[in-house]
Amino acid sequence: MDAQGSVNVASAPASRRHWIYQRLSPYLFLLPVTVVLVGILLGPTIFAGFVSFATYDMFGGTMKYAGLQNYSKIAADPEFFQSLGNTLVYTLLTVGVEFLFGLGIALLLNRELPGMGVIRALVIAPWILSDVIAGLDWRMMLQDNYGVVNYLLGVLWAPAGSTPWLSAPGWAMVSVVLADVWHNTPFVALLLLAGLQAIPQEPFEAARIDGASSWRTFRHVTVPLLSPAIFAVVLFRTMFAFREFTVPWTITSGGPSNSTELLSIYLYKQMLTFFNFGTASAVSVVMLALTILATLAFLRGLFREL
Amino acid sequence: MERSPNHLETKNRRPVRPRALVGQTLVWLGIAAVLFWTLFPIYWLVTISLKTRVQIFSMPPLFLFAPTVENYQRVIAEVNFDRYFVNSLIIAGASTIIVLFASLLSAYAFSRMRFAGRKLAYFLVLAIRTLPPVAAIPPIFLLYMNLSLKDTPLGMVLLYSAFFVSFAVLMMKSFFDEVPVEIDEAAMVDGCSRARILWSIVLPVVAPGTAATAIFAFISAWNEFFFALVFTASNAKTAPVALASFVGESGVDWGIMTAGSTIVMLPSLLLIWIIQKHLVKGLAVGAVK
Repeated sequence: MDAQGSVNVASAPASRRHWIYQRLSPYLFLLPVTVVLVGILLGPTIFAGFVSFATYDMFGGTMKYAGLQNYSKIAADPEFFQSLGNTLVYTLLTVGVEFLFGLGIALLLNRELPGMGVIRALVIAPWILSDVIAGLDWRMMLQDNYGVVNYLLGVLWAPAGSTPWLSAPGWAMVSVVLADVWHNTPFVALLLLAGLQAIPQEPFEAARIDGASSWRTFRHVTVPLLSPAIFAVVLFRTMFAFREFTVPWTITSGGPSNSTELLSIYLYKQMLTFFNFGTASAVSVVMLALTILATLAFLRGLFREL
Repeated sequence: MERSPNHLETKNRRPVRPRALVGQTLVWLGIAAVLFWTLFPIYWLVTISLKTRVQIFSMPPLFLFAPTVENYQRVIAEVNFDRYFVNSLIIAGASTIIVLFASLLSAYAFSRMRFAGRKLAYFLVLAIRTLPPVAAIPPIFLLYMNLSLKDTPLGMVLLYSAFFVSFAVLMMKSFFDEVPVEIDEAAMVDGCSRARILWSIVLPVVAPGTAATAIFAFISAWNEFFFALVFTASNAKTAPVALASFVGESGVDWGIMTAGSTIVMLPSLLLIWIIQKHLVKGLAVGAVK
């Protein structure tokens, strides 16, 4: 709902200064946000496009036009494609698992039970912690030799107790996805729960009168009515998973043998390990382009809705 | 939970069917499993912080032990954690103030005023939010080096203000939209300026929502790691960066890391408990990320 009131005060004597103030005040109100967003986010993001066509000399502080050199450099770097692949795998796995778990939890919590308020507040806890704490906590629990996860698994089934969570490439990806799922599923669950609670009861009653099975009711009533919430949640999670840095960085620093190196970690290394600003900017542009492609449908819908 | 007498009555009239009982049990088992999954890692983090160095590495892990506060003493005495904690407080606090100021003004304009370019401006605020801030890191790095803003609290405050202002605009706009426009109109007839209406008439009405927005902005800045890692070294180092450094290349000290983490997560958990009511609104606009 939009409560935009065009307030026309006909009775006020419209002096010229007053009129100008009236006309300008919306823009004055928007000024601080514009300065902050354009100055610190939009401006530098556009500037990254320019730097990606240049080489920057850290010590001289000079920039030189270099054409497509930075792009051909990353195009020839197998590590870049590895991190691109890792990022896609990471995004698909985390968003997929978080969506399924989140939907399950939302359906489970969508009922009137004693203490439900407290339960919901406890379920959100992992998401409130800093992602750095989530990452470090799981790194500690997943230690191969003395971690509590391997201990608990060993109690259930002895061979599982020696899982090389952090030292084997495939398992390392599983570990970082696991920590991300723990950290972010509450977000998905609570948003879907809010979506479920906003659905009116009538369609469900109609489905019951028609004798629909609970699966058919879920498939043909719940899912379509929940789809706006599902869309928003999946969009948010995809956007954030694609740019994720902290969880894999704190658990594995991208290793072993770059198996958990995501694009943001690749960019970080290009910049702060090799001081290669041109290449880092080229990676920026690739990330931007992929993000815009992925959110294009969303942005178009948003613009039409306004 | 309270039950109305009417509800109780209908409940008593119907005998509990065994199938419903099984369903009820399954629901509670499911809830128990979910709570174990979400809470065990937090519980484990806190227990490790209360163990001695030897107890931390014991296999099988100790579930019952005599707790010690040794790690909490060390986290303050040995690694200057209090300094990083204060840095985080200053940076998160100052960026919250800027975020609130800027988002209150523009959310009010978006909710109440008609002007040329309104749609486009609102679209841009939303669209910028979808861009990955990571992409702006290389140029910001160059900019900050040239302006000597690297490793300064001011530099971090500016960054966080930019990252967390757009969610705050969306959130505040939804609160303003709930306030009837007639209030503004009446005040305008009385000759109040827009700024005055916002400050002394509308703002008191949306105070709870403003508090929730402030808390979200604070937690977001309080938790942020990536940019603090890139842009701070010693002078403006924040608590999350310090936490990661305790188990970094120079050695792994789980005791200090877990004690520091417990200290850092307490304020967030307390604050979120206070604004439970507005939690979903914050989630819906993607706060705390």
